[in-house]
Amino acid sequence: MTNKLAWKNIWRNKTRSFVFISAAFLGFAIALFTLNTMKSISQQRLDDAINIQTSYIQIHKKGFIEDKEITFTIPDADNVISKVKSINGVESISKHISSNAVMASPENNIVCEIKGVVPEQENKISVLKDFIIEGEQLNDLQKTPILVSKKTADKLKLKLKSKVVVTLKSANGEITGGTFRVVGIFATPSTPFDEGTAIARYNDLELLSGIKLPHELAIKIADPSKLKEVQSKIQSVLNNEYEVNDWMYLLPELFAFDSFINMIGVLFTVIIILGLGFSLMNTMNMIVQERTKELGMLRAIGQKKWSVFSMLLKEAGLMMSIGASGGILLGVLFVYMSSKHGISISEGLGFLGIRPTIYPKLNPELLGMISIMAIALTLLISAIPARRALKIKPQEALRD
Amino acid sequence: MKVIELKNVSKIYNPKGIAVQAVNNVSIEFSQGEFTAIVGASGSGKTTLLNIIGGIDTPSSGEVYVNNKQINQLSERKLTEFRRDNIGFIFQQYNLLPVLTATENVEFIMELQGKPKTEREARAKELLIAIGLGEKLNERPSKLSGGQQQRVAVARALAHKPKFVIADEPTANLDSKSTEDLLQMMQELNQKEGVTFIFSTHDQRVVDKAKRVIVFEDGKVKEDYTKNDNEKHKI
Ligand SMILES: Nc1ncnc2c1ncn2[C@@H]1O[C@H](COP(=O)(O)OP(=O)(O)OP(=O)(O)O)[C@@H](O)[C@H]1O
Ligand SMILES: [Mg+2]
Repeated sequence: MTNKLAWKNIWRNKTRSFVFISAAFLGFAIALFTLNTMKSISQQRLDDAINIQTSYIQIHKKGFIEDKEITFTIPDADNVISKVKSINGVESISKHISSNAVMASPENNIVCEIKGVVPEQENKISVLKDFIIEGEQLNDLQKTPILVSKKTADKLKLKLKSKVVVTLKSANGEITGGTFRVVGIFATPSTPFDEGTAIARYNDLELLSGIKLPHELAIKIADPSKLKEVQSKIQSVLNNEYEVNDWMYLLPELFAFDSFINMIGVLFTVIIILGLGFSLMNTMNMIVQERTKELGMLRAIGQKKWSVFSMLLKEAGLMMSIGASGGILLGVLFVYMSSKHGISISEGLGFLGIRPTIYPKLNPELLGMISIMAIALTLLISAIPARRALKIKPQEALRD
Repeated sequence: MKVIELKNVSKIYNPKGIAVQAVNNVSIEFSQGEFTAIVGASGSGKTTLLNIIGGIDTPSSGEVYVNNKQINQLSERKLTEFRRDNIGFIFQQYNLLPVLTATENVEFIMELQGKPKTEREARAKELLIAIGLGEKLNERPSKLSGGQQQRVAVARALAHKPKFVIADEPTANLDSKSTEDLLQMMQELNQKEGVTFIFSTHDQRVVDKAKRVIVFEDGKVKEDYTKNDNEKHKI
């Protein structure tokens, strides 16, 4: 009966209950949708950066990251590769030559990083090929091919098949240069990457620079959640001549921005919690106030304290469940619809690596967190007025 | 048979440091099947006394026994159970639950006791029909007159077959016709089912129907007498 009573009591003051239920409904719908979208944006950025730029883990010779010195190659690279390959959780490895270079066309020139990759290896760890908007990806048949970004192509006035001269420092410390031919033009979500990167074949750069070993081994792992574990396994088979870093180290701004987004998410959640909590507290206070006499009567005729307490909590819980479950449902629907149609964000956020249109995915952890939040909020907030109800003395409540 | 026994019961209220002796060293007994009115001027201590008998309030000193069991020492939890299982309450303002139907209101205490649905329902219907509300079983209190609501309250008080029923000015909000009907109904229940009623009142017509009258003054029993069946007594 106390269940039934709690349920029926909700409808005693329809307007008031409706106000709270609507607040919970909107609050949860907006919270779920917004947080989920933010999380999706942040996740998409990270996925893009990892899949296009760094992969999950990279091995370098110690000192290379600070210096990018052309001679800082990975000693005994073949042996390192075969050792790392045999580690459980490592999916594939791609070796890179990486050098600062000047890229020049008859029109203009830019400074960038030129990366030499083995196409067949690189395609296993990188999705850059999916972002080629003109031309084709690198293969072994082309003659000194190069991939440049749309941004670079515009700046240097390059088209497919245009020639471009790449100048860099060779292994013996001299300036060396070579002519490459544009076979593909890419555009990724990240402006900094696009402005600063060109991709050539490993063999071609090896020949041009005269170095015999790669600067970088990029590693894709099978299960991203085991990142730290795989990283330390790799570290353990290599001596301290080598440096093994994960993407969080390699992409510090990205990682910081992700933390920032998470913080905004927390802040946003706190604001919604405060709003809803205040509304619930207010509602429950009024309920206890109005029903003092009735609650006193219930205690008088023999309803136990705990039963009165839980009855009030049930009433709050029911209101919250109606509002929150409706809101969560609507939120999920929003997410679903936007995952079909996409949400256009600004074109101008490429400098942060954010895609102009994003297709949010429902994050189950977030859904769980929001549901737990609803339950915890109800219990914590309504316990306060419900406790006050327990202090009602029947002999006083029943006097007029 | 003795149902309730008060021994040297006093109640002192002490709000804001000013002591008020609401009940002053009272010793009384109530027997099974009584139909007793407690009368007295406003502030004489009637409500306080009824609350102490009903285990809603505890005396400042003295002892209260129900069925030879001392109740004024019980823990709050035990006292709540005691009220639920042994006492029926009728209040001046009916105090029905507005969101429940007449039947559900009557079932409520049995539900608290954990009685099965079929038993509860049968008992509630039986009582409501007996008190002439067979037509109103599924009405909420707001659809009933004051007199009808108070009858539902009587049915609620009796539903779990309590040892006795306590009613603090049950007719104070009723018109004379409803008062008449309610008293007649209570009398019938008292005579036919042997339900023990102890009620307070200011109403002479109610006093007239009582078998025993206890007159209260300044927290003390001033008079306590039992009438012959056809005697009428004025206070
Ligand atoms: N909670 C309380 N705090 C302080 N004083 C109280 C309290 N309850 C009752 N009193 C005092 O105790 C005395 C007895 O009150 P009680 O309500 O028992 O009288 P009563 O006979 O029922 O009066 P009435 O006919 O007006 O209902 C009064 O003086 C009253 O003011
Ligand atoms: Mg009184």
